[in-house]
Amino acid sequence: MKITIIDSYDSFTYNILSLIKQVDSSIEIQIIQHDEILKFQSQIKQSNGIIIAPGQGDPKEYINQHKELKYIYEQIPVFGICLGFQIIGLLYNSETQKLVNPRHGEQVELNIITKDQLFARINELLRVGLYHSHYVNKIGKSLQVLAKDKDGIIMAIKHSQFPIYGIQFHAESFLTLRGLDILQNFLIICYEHLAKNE
Amino acid sequence: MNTWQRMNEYGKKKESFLFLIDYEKEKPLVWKLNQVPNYIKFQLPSYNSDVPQNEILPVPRLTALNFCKEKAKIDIHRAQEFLKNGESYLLNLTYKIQLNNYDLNLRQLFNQSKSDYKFLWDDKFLSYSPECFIRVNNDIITTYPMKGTAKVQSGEKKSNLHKDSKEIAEHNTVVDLLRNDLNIISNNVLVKKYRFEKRIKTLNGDLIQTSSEISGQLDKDWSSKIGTIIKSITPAGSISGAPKRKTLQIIKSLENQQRGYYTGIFGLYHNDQLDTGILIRFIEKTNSDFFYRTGVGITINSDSIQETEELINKIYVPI
Repeated sequence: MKITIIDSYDSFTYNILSLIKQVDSSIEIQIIQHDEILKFQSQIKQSNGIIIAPGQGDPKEYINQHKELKYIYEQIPVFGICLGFQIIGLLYNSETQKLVNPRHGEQVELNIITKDQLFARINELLRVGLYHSHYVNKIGKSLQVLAKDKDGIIMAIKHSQFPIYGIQFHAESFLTLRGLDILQNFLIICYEHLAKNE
Repeated sequence: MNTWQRMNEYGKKKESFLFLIDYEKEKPLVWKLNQVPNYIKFQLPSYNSDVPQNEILPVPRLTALNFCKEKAKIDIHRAQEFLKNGESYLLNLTYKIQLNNYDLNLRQLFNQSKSDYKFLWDDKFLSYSPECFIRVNNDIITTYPMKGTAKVQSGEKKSNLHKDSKEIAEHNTVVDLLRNDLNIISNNVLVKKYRFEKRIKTLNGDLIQTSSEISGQLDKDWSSKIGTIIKSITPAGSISGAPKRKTLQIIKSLENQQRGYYTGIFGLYHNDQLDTGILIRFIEKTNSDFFYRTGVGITINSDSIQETEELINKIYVPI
């Protein structure tokens, strides 16, 4: 299986890589920087799962090149983390805005609203790590909210038709308990998708 | 061969060597251990270059000549604008402060100061640092990022750092950053110890430093890649910030001057072990003036008055 990580010159990318390797060391991983996704479209298209990784700044500044890849995202399982989650939101008519009080390095409790395969085998109250200054304040019709935090900020979403997922928190942070399980759940979604299409 | 390649080469041959890397990675230097010039003196927990000990001369009390607290506050607010926009989560901002001390002898201070990591370039700079960058022992690489410095009264066992939520958030960020950096070069990365405290004695009272311990498993042939490893994980996360690439650009625009060897690292490969220290707590000599280099980690919740205090608290000689 081959997973593409769309990176934004971030400093948490290798923590994601390490989670994938812990789930299955045979997975082939390619890292593509966000400003090169148009150039490497065909390589992205050939992968079995796409992770849109965290990154700095405003998601609106990234959205144009991702719009061009929307047709690929609707064919392969996608998992957006933080910035990636916000990008998915924007791709499907959600709105993002700046937080009044950005949360960098904080741990909050996750309130799972909708049971989903992404949170399979996780039954307890989950603590998760945050690094964000923007958030999804209004969600598009084709997306479904899976989880929120205690302040009501959207923490996880899923597309109602395609296997497209997003989480606002950082599964790869040591502040997120069971981050490995969440990533494993996404990779199982990728395996199942691959099996179905073979 | 450049310095990085020579580090790989010496390590491959298991030859002991000392290296010195500047923050900008423009002037990296390496010497075989038996060829270290005599204007260089260094000390690590595992190694002491022949230094006369027990200096009986009084230790000077360092004081800043003209540190403008107001300017620092403005800079901190400017840095926080970048943090609010999510362009950085943690940014280490540093200052070069002229000292009101004119008769310092760096070689003498090297001998007098008590610190785990000391490095002297005679007549140029001195660092007596409490911070280990990485250590490699039996293929295990360990890093000890230090974030959080506070003054304590001599009777107090613990500082308030312990329960300070913004110190915790700042520390968390650096732990995730260093996990990432170790994940670039090693496997099975683990946070072994989370936020332990260490006390430092100074003429101006005691300081408490908070660190964590993170480790990973290197390949067996790591010594032939020391240069490559060091190059890929510097500048050190605790003196730069996260995300590193963008934060380095912001630091450059805010600081407006080269850091040089300050916040760089020095290290020793010896007996198939590697130990490195971060060059902080740093005195620089220019002509006959002395400058102290000091910095603080800025986060979204940093209080500019408190951070300015921390900048000043770090001007000391450890005794």
